[in-house]
Amino acid sequence: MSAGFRCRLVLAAIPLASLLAACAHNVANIRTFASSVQVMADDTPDIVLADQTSCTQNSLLQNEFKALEDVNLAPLPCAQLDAVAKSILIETRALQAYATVLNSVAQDQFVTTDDDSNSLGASIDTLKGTSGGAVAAAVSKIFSLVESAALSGYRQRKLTEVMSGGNAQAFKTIMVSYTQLVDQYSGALQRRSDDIDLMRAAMSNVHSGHNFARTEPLAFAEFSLRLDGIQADLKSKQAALQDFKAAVLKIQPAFEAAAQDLTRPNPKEIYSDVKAFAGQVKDAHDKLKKAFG
Amino acid sequence: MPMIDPSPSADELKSLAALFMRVEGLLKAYLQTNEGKQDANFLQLSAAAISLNNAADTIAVMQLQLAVDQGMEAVAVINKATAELQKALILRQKITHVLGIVQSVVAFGAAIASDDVGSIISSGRTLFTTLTTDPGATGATAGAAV
Repeated sequence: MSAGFRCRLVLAAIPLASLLAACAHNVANIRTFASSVQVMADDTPDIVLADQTSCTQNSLLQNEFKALEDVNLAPLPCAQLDAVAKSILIETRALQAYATVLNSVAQDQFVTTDDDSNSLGASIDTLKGTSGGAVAAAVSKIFSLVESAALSGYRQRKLTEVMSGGNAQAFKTIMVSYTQLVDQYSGALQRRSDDIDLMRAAMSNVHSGHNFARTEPLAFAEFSLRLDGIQADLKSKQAALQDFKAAVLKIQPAFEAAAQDLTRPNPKEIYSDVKAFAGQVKDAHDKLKKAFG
Repeated sequence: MPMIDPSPSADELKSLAALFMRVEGLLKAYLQTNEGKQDANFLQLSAAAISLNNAADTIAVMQLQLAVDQGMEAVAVINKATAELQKALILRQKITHVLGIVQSVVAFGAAIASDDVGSIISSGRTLFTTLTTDPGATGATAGAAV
């Protein structure tokens, strides 16, 4: 190979070094964030279903109480809850898909090169010092690195688009629904526990119509045990939901921290907000599995 | 004549739910006292407290509905963003393919310039393979649930 040709190749390769340095990005925070959002979104249908089931079961329990004590009660909003649950599941599916594809785009495999060369400098050195067939290999390596840089830049632009402006706002809005869901469900669980206290007291009160504790001691003891079981279940679900709520509350700071991968390339760490969110999601996931089966 | 808006706002619903909960709390506390336990209307008061809880539930579901209604508008935006990312994954395959062709062409050219027969054959074979590969063969499938 002529010295002129080799010189032109070297000169062409040098500006690529700065291009590659500018485009090399690590989006580990986005990957961590997206994985945790996937787990959270996967857990949500179980929570929604448990919320609906709990409403139906409590409605049946209250019907039993009404029949036993001959009282009127305002109805529970189970039908309304069923209607709103469908919309929440639509939101959840959208969130799952968003997190899944965000995670895929943020994978390092997105930026794939055809060979295992990882140093442009080394490739340029190869060009300088060799001739013959090795030149073809060196050129191939350089182009592989250019390809990597082009894809990395493209990925950064796409991630920036979907994690800023209206998209970031939409993500925030969906999270408000999640917060509201957890508030509604944990509030309902607390109220059901209060209801059970009220029912138990009413059924054993001397001034209530039947005073079942005296007239039907065995049936009352059995009923009371059933109520104890329901209350224990409510308590474990409430505890798991509190953890889930803590995760939901950490999602926004984590989203903002993860998006810094796009403005501050090559972070050397997983940001604390992302780490805290991921840890909380894991804790909540484990507790939800135990409480919701 | 001013129109009355029958749709309560999120804040009004929150205040109403808080009021119901407060009254239910007071009622429950009263029923737990000795005086309350002796109250001739104990059962009716208990039923009223449960009804207040049920009403608070209804309000909580209404609040949830309001938040979800807004969330549904956001779903369209998120779905669009997801579709954009899916396109990015597919485009990545195409970019890889096109750059692969360019890389092979340049390597082939460099091999010809080097007069090395072995390199010419090898890079020519690579160029042929790259040109005949279907870029969509390993297309992305992530996020297909939208």
